[in-house]
Amino acid sequence: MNKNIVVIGGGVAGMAAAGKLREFGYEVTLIEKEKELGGNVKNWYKVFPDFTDAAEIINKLKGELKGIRVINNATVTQINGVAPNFEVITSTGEKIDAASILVATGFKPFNAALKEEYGYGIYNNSITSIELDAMLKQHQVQTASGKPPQKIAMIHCVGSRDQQVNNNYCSRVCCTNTVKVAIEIKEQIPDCEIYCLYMDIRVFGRGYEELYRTSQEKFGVQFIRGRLSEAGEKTDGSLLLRLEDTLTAKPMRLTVDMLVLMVGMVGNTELAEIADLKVGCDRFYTTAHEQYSNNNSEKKGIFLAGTATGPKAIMESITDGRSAAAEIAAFLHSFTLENMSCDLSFRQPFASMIAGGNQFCNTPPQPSPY
Amino acid sequence: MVKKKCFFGIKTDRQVDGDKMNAKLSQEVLAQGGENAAINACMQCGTCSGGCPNAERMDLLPRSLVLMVQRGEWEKVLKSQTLWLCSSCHTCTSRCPRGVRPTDVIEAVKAIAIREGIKNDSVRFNQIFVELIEKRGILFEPELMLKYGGLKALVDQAELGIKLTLKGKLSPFPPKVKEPKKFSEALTKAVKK
Ligand SMILES: Cc1cc2nc3c(=O)[nH]c(=O)nc-3n(C[C@H](O)[C@H](O)[C@H](O)COP(=O)(O)OP(=O)(O)OC[C@H]3O[C@@H](n4cnc5c(N)ncnc54)[C@H](O)[C@@H]3O)c2cc1C
Ligand code: SF4
Ligand code: SF4
Ligand code: SF4
Repeated sequence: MNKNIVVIGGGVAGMAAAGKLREFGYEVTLIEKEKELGGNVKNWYKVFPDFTDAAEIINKLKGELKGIRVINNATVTQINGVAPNFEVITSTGEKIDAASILVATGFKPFNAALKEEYGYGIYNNSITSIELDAMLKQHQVQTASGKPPQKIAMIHCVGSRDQQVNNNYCSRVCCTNTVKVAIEIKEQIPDCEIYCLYMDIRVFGRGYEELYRTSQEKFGVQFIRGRLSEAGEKTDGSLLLRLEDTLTAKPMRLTVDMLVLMVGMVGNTELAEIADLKVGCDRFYTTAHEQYSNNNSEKKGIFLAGTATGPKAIMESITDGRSAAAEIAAFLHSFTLENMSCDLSFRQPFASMIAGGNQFCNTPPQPSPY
Repeated sequence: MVKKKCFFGIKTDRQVDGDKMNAKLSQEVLAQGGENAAINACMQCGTCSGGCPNAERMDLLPRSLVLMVQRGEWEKVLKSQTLWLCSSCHTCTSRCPRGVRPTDVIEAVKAIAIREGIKNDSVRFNQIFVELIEKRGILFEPELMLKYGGLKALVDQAELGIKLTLKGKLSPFPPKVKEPKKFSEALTKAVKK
C-alpha cells in the first residue's frame, strides 16, 4: 500500500485536511482546479463573526501545506481501482497512486440571474453579495453611476429556501453574512440607510446573534420581514421594490439606490460520476450517515469534507476537513493492522451505515434544471 | 384609528410607503428621556405585547409601537390610543429579551404628544386623580368617576361599584388616611423636589 492521499479541492476544507494529513506523516497531493488555492474564501474581504481578514485564514492554512504537492489548474478525470490502491488520473494526464481520496470540492454561489424578478444582470444597481464584498474590499461601495448609495436593501435567501429554483434548503451563512456586510457598509458610509428583507433571521453560531443585535443597536440597520417579490428600475436608476411587510400585514413599496442579493450555496457535484458518489435531493454529496459518519462517502476509501456535503461556515468547513483527516488516518491505519492480520470486523461498518439519505426532501431528487 | 380615504373610498393606509421610513422619531424619543430605551435593538418577538395587561384594548400593540417608532411613523404613533392605555406597569420592559424599554418609549412619546396638543382623556384623568389625592390623601372611587365622567359614568359603573362594596373591596363612604396632615406635608415636599 502506498501512503499517498489525494485531496481534491483546495478550499479551506481541503487545505485544512491536507495540512493535518501531512502532520500525521502522510504524503499528500492536493489537486485544485483554479490557479490559486483558497476556494470561495479567497474572494471574501473580512469574514463573520469576528471580521478576521479572509486572507489571514488562507495564509494560515497555506502555511500548513509544507511538503505537500499542490497541482493547480487541474481536476480529476478518472479514478480506477479500489481502496487502498486507487489510481487517480488528472486532467493534465498525470496518473497518481492513492491509498485514499478526499473530495472537498465545495460549493458554487447561486446564479442570481435565475431570479429574474430581482433584475440581476438587467438592472445596473442589482448586485450580488459577492460583488458587494469586492466593493467593500476596495472601500468603493458605489452605485452604477459612481455615487455612494444612500439607501441599500439586502435580500436574504436568494437562491435558497425556494422551490422555484429547486433549492429547498437554507444556505446557513447568508443571514450572518448580511449582518456582517451591513455593518461594514455602515462603517464605510455612515449615513447610508440599510434595509434587510428577511423571512427568518438564522444566525445560529457562536457570536452570530450578538453580531445581529449589534447591527441593529449600534448601527441602526433595519430589518423588514418579507421576501422581495420583485424589483423594478426607475428612470434615475434607483430600484422600486415590492414586498409584503409581514409584521404589519401590509404591502410595501420601497425605493433603494442599490439592491444586494445575498446569494446562497449550490452543491458542486461534478465528480459524482467519476468518484462514484451519491448526490442528495439538495444536490450536495450524500454521506454514509448524516449523524455519525458524515465524512465517509458510501464508497470505501473515498471521503468528503466541507461544503461539498452541504452549507457550512468557514470554521465548520475547516473543522470538517480536519475531522475527515482523522477518519482517513484511522481508515488507513486499519490496513496496516490488516497486514498484521488482526480482527477487522470493527472497521467494516459501511453497509449498515448507509441510510436512506435525507428524509425531508420536498421534491424528488433531480438535477438542477440549470 | 382614523382611516384616511382618497376619493374612491380606497383606504390609503392599506399600503406601507417604505420611502417614508426615517430615524427622526426614534432620535426624538431618545432625546425625550427614552435614552435607555434601546429602540433599535427590538427584534419584533412580541414578548412585550404578549404580557401587556392592556393589549386587548390597544390599537397598536407595544411591539408594533416600537416598530413604528423605529420607522419614524409619527402620525400612527402620536394618534395611537396605546399611549393613553398603557398603565406603565413595566411588564413589557421587565421581560424584553433585547433590553428594549417599551414603557420608556411610550412615556417619551406621550410627552411629545401632550406637547403637540394631541387630544386625550388621560391627562385630564390624571389631573383629577392627583387633585383628589391632594384633597383626601386617598382615593374615593365614586368621586373620581363623578368628576371624570359626570353622573352618567357614576350610573354606568354603579353595578360594578355595588358588587365591589358587597365584597368589601370598596367603601361606600370616603375613606381617610390616618394622618392627613402628615401626608399633605409629605406631598408638598415631594412636589417641591
Ligand atoms: C457570499 C458568501 C459569503 C460568505 N461569508 C462567510 C463569512 O463571512 N464567514 C464564514 O464563516 N463563512 C462564510 N461563507 C462560507 C464560506 O465561503 C465556506 O464555508 C467555505 O468557502 C467552504 O470551503 P470549502 O473548502 O468547503 O469549499 P470552497 O470554498 O468552495 O472550495 C472548494 C475548492 O475546490 C475546488 N474545486 C471544485 N471542483 C473541483 C474539481 N472538480 N477539481 C479540483 N478542484 C475543484 C474549487 O476551485 C475551490 O478552490 C460565505 C459564503 C458565501 C456564499
Ligand atoms: S441563512 Fe438566512 S438568508 Fe441564508 S438561506 Fe438561510 S434563512 Fe435565508
Ligand atoms: S419584547 Fe422587546 S424585542 Fe420583543 S417585540 Fe417587544 S420590544 Fe421588541
Ligand atoms: S408598561 Fe404599558 S405597554 Fe408595557 S406591559 Fe405595561 S401597560 Fe403594556
